[in-house]
Amino acid sequence: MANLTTTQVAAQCHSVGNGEPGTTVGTLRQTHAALRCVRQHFESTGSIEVMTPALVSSTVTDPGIQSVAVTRQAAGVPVGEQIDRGLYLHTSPEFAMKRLLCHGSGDIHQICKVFRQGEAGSRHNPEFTMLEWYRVGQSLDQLIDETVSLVTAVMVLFGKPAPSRETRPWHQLIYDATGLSAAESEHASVAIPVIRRVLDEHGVALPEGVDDTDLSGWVDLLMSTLIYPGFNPAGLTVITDYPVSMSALAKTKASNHPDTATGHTPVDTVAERFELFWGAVELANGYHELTDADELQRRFYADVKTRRQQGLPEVTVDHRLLAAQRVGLPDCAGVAMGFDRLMMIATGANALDDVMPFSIMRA
Amino acid sequence: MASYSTSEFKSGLKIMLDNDPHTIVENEFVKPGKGQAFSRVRVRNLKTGRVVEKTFKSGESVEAADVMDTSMQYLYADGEYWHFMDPQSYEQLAADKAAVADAYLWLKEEDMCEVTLWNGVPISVTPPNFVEMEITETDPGLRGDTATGGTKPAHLGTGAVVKVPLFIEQGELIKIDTRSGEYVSRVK
Repeated sequence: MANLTTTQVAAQCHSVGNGEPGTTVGTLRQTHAALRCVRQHFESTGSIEVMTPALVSSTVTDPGIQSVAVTRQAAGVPVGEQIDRGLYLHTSPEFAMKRLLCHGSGDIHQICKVFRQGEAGSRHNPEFTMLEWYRVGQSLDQLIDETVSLVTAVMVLFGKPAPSRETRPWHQLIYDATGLSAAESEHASVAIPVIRRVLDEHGVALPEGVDDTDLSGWVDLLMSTLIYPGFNPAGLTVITDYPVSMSALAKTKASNHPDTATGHTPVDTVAERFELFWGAVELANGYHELTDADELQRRFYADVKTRRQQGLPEVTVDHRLLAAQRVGLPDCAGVAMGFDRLMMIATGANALDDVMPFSIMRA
Repeated sequence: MASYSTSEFKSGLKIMLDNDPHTIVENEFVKPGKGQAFSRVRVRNLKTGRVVEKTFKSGESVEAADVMDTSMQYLYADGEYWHFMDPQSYEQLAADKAAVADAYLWLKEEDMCEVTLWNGVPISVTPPNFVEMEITETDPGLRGDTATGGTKPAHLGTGAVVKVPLFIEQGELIKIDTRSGEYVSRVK
């Protein structure tokens, strides 16, 4: 995986210029207006704004997300204290916010900076602003509606028309692109040759580093290069009903969608997860949150095993979250939205550098 | 051997691919929020000029190409090689037809050119953006016709043919933009 550190990126940047920001004063004002609009939305729906630490002792286990590590000395933690392995900059405030929910916070939201190691590009920045919120007792569909209406509110604020919305179950996307049924798409030996052929037919250069057992790697490449770019470029697309293997921290449920390929065999179980896109730009990722602490622990350790197999940095499992979820996470739905990306699409910009005053190349 | 990680990719970086030196033209980072990251790059083969796409898994390393752009003075051609000299060290290098390619059309003795070296051997030659050359052959000029905007072909000593305004005469010195191969002005 990426081994870029923020200092390395900064060191690569030789162009100092006048120290000027990537944004105009107009963009700064628009950002201010969007933040106010978002806060008004939560104010009017009874959610409370919270602040949780950016510097945390354990981090996400997801093999697709790499944390920026901070040494214990850098964090000022004395030797012999509870924290003996160093700290991380949080990649999302999810774990801390769930601990608040376990201890009775009710509906909460947060707007904060989060950090992802090695993510830099026109639509990625190793530090970005996350808008994350949780609704107690709500269903995933209710949360999808709220997410769409919040995005719509910001777009309308900037004089854009209310965007259209299309909902696409995950397996349907795979079927439309490759002809693979839900069952076939879960088997590496069947799915990978088909995905390779489809990518090749569409002129996508095939990577050499992804081997013939790494199904998720091939699926990710298919998604990034063919499926997302095929979404309505001027509307919202909601992906729902993820395969169980991609459930992350979402609950799973019996599917009510038939398998597209066969028309009758239902997909047994799907994850109650959604992602929201504007064109090919991923804006938000949400779950009907997994509440079962034992299942959470099982998924954490499955991730730890995958990380070891893939040679990714080992991370510390969040035992405080596990302990809090044993006290009890209320039934809730939660979503994280990339605020800078929302600004990018709402202002019609092409790159995060146009909406962040100082993206990593200027930081 | 020096190498670059995908996180160091940026346009202009020189890397080895399929045993040929390439330069990165464009680099795009793609990654689903919770998924694998890839670098999709467009690279130009520095020997053939061909541009191709490549995809790398993030974190992979690629061998660096020992490629250097040097400013050298063009001396002469011997029919097989074009000879250049480093004005500081007076060191001379010979570039073959493959390296010079179409640049020979714009090579004028003593002009400074950009010579790209791979492992010390010339692999491409870029003439100056503007060169001044003498017209060796063209139809007689239409004196005073500076307004009609018509053009006629003019042959240069190197074999290049340039469209010039009708009033230009054989033996005149003209300025040419080598990137487009177009006439710019008369040199007085």
